[in-house]
Amino acid sequence: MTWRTAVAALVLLCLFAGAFQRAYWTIFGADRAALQAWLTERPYSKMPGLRQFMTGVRDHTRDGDRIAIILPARRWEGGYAYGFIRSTYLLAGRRTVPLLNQGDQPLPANLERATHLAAWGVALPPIRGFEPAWRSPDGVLLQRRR
Amino acid sequence: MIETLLSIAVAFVAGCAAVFGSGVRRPLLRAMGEAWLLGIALCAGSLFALALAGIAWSLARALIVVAVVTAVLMIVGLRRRATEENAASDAGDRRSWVSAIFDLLTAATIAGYALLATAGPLAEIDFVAMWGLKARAFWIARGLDWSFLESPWYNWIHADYPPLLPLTFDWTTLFQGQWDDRWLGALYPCFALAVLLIIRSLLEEELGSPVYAAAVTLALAPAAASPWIGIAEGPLLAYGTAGVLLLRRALRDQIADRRSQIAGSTGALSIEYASLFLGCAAATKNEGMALLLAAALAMLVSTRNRAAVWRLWPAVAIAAPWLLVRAVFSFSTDLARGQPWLRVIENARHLSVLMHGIAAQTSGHYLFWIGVIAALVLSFRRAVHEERLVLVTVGLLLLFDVIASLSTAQGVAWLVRWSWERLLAQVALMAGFTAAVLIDGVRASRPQPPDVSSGGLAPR
Repeated sequence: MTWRTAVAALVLLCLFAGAFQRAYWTIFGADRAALQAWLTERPYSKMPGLRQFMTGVRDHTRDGDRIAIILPARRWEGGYAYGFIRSTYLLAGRRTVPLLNQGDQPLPANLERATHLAAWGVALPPIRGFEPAWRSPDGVLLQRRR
Repeated sequence: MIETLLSIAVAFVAGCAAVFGSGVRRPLLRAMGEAWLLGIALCAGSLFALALAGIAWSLARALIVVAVVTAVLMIVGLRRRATEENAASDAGDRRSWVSAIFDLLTAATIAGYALLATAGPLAEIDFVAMWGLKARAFWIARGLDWSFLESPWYNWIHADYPPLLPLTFDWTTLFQGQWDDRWLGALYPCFALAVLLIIRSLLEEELGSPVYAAAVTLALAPAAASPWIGIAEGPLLAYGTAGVLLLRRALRDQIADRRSQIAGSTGALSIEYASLFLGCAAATKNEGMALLLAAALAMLVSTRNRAAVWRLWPAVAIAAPWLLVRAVFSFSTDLARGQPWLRVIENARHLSVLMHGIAAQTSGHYLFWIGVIAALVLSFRRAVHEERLVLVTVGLLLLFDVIASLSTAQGVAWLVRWSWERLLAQVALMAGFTAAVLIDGVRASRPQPPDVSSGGLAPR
């Protein structure tokens, strides 16, 4: 073996070792059911129960419904955006609207225009013009009274 | 799962027609890689065309569009083959058991990646917040949902980003019949495998050693298998790398053709064909548009021929419709809002933060980058003369990324932390390929291939 071949082999070894991803090999012996459960909850891990609640909201609403999202966070970057973005994915097809803007100011006009209110992790007082449509241990879905 | 595999198979068949229609003879492995990349883009493009025509998506309508385009491409391919003298490729006939072992290990890496990609619902936050959300909204609307894209409440979705990836998800969802964010992950190993097939084939053709080509492909396999499953990095990496490496190959083929006086031989890859992949990269993400610009400038530097750069028009033709839509709907890019140049100047004070942050992002793969730099240092002259296209493309793209990072309104440190590992991954395959080619020259002291800068494409 010449020095040139040795250097080439060393560089190739660096490329191999540097790019190596252990996960692509350990997956063969991994508990796939546990991994699936973890992946299912991972995007919602900071708000446990949000996924299940919004999935229930989806089952009780229709495409085109305008759903205002109520969350325990009072600041956009302090948790509201986290829950609102994820709720929007789970409720795709419905029009989710925030009740807080990015400057943390309330948006009461969105409440006026909503056909539904989905409140997660909040004890909601009665709201005029809305009636309960569905309830779960994590929250309540209100719909506009007809 | 069966429906997802069927959507992949149909896209592959459509891509085979596109590859056949190009009239270029190439080794089977490369043809297969190119077929997937072009096929899935063609299928996504058919949904885009239907949406722009105001026709609601259905599986039957999408299949009709794809079938018509496939038939046209097949006819074009047949006519070309009937009228031109084919230069059959002899690559792929020199297999050995050592290269077969390396290839099996590469296949096992991709199989592991496929298991990981389909282990559960896609969990990347950018999938939930952006790529997957858009695809799901489009699926429900059975077309591009303009009111969703224009909504003031969803400004995090980056309405300006090109739609190829969401449309790819929608293509698969049309087969599934319902939104299922678990099996969409199956698309990612296809992208990784496709670009690896292209790399494997190019290396073997160029270096003549199946064992070395297979060893390098194995080394680069994890770099092709993007760990960010569900977002645009995997497809962008595949299209971008394929585009730049095929463009490099096209330039070499053209020089070789001119030298051997057989210009137009069907063995030669055309710049126009290679640029299709760059166009798909530009249709995937804004960084793909930056890559197209970087490749065009690198081509200008490499060939010193402005006319050659115009031959990238197919890439522009692929990217242009979305740019037009973006302009019509005023979907602005967040980095360009306000006064970006003032922010660049302001943030330039934090250049050291940026550089330290970038260095920190290589920490997981520092050996890889040491290998790349070592290859460049050991073969510096060859790198400058022969690999200028790829190196200038990578250099310019990173420069664009630095400027974009400095123009952020969210803070340089924040952007570096959340972006640069992905940005470096976008160029890792190109850099690794170049390092492998250069180091093969050190290993074998082989005669030098044509110098791209030597004027082979200079105006006559």
